[in-house]
Amino acid sequence: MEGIVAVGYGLVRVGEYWAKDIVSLAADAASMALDMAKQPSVDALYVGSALSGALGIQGNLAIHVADELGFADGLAVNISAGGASSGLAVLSGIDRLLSGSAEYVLVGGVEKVSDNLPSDVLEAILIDIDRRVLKYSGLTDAGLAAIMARLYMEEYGVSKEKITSLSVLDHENGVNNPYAMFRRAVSLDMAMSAPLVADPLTIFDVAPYGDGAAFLVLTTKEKALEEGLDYMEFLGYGVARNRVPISHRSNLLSFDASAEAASVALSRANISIDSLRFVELFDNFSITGVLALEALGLSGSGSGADDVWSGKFNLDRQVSVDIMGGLKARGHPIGATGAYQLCEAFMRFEEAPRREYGLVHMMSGFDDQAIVFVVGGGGSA
Amino acid sequence: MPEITEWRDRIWRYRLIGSRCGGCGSTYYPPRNSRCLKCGGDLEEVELPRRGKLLSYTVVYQAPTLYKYSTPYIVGYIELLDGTRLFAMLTDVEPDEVRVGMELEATLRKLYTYGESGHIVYGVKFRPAVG
Repeated sequence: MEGIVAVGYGLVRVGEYWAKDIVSLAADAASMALDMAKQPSVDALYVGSALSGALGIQGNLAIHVADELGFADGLAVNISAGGASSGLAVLSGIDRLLSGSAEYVLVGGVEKVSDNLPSDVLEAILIDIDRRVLKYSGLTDAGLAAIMARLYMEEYGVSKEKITSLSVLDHENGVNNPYAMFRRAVSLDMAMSAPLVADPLTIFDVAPYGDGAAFLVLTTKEKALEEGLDYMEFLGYGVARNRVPISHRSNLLSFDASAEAASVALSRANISIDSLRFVELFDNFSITGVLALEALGLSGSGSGADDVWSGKFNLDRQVSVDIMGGLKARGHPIGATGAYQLCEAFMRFEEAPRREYGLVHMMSGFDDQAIVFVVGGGGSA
Repeated sequence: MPEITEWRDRIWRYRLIGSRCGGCGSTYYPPRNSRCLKCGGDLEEVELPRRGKLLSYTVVYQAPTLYKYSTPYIVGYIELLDGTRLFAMLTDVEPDEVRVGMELEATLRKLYTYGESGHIVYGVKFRPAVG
């Protein structure tokens, strides 16, 4: 795959926007992306949002965002696919460009969780994952992650501290991200002794939900060079699904979809995993981040937590993980999170002008549907 | 009306009914309506064994609204005698008594009550096996 680039990104700091509605929040981020891309004429808009319809905030969201932005015509598509919503929006935009049906597309996601009670948000998320399995067992998303964490600890003889060290790394890196919900480092002691959400996971093992919006303007590399725009290049992508409901899987600890998506993305990009400079994990929980590390091929089975603990993926190492704070520190605006990850990758390339590669991993639920993008920096300068 | 869905699911939820593949013998819970994921074979409904062992568990402290009066409660990841794996709430046991590997048996219990209608929803939970 070649020739598709992002020429603009826009995002708001993840948090609570009491005075903003979902459409204007999306428009704020989208306008920033359009400004950076020098206000191109957009042919198609893809908006990811996991919960806007389910929570009764705004149905058919994309046409409202398009209208707010003043787009007179063009395609406006809404995508609701849990944590994969904005990733699939980006993927759809890329496909639209590759088909030749568009010259510029605006892609991203928005989520507004502060308009509803936390318990209502939780229920909407559980229905997204699997109504029957979760509702009749009393299991929550954090509960499912906790069951995976205990299974992992039993199977590999790994301590809880090592799993939680990924949250500590996220917070350390999030300090550098102006758009992160939490910009402070935390100690392992603090993370371990925090209140339990679902034993053995504490609030520091669980990425916090927040309001957020993030968008990217995509076009062809040819067009970007013609217009003299700096860009981030999409070198490859892969998408795959795991079995649902999760009780039908033979191994809870094997994120097969993430593994498949990464393998396809790297092979399309013709890049080996060793030449990556950074990897952004969809670590909605500390344990799912660890399992993703193993699925992507950065750690062997059962050694992901050990590797994080030993500092193998710190900022100063060859391959750094969650360089802008991951889901734990940046925050998790569910259907917009994937777009945040890509915006942050673009920000990284702006700061590091030399040619380097990054891998961005996203998923809905627990590896239910995984998307992996391989991206590289570039520019006309 | 979410309560219609509880009614629709009642039989498999009360009786621990899953699906078994006529071709390869794989089992699934909750039951699948379509074909076997492993071999594509035809599936039939089957009452699953009511005993198994605990593979992993959690104690839930932050619960959805319907379970908020039950916290903290224990949810187990359980392997039944025929190899079927499922998630279910544990009952008649305290968090500090739970051990991975312990033997469990199924029992019909109240899951939750809808506040406005008073509709009580029942389903299978698991308790430490006796004898």
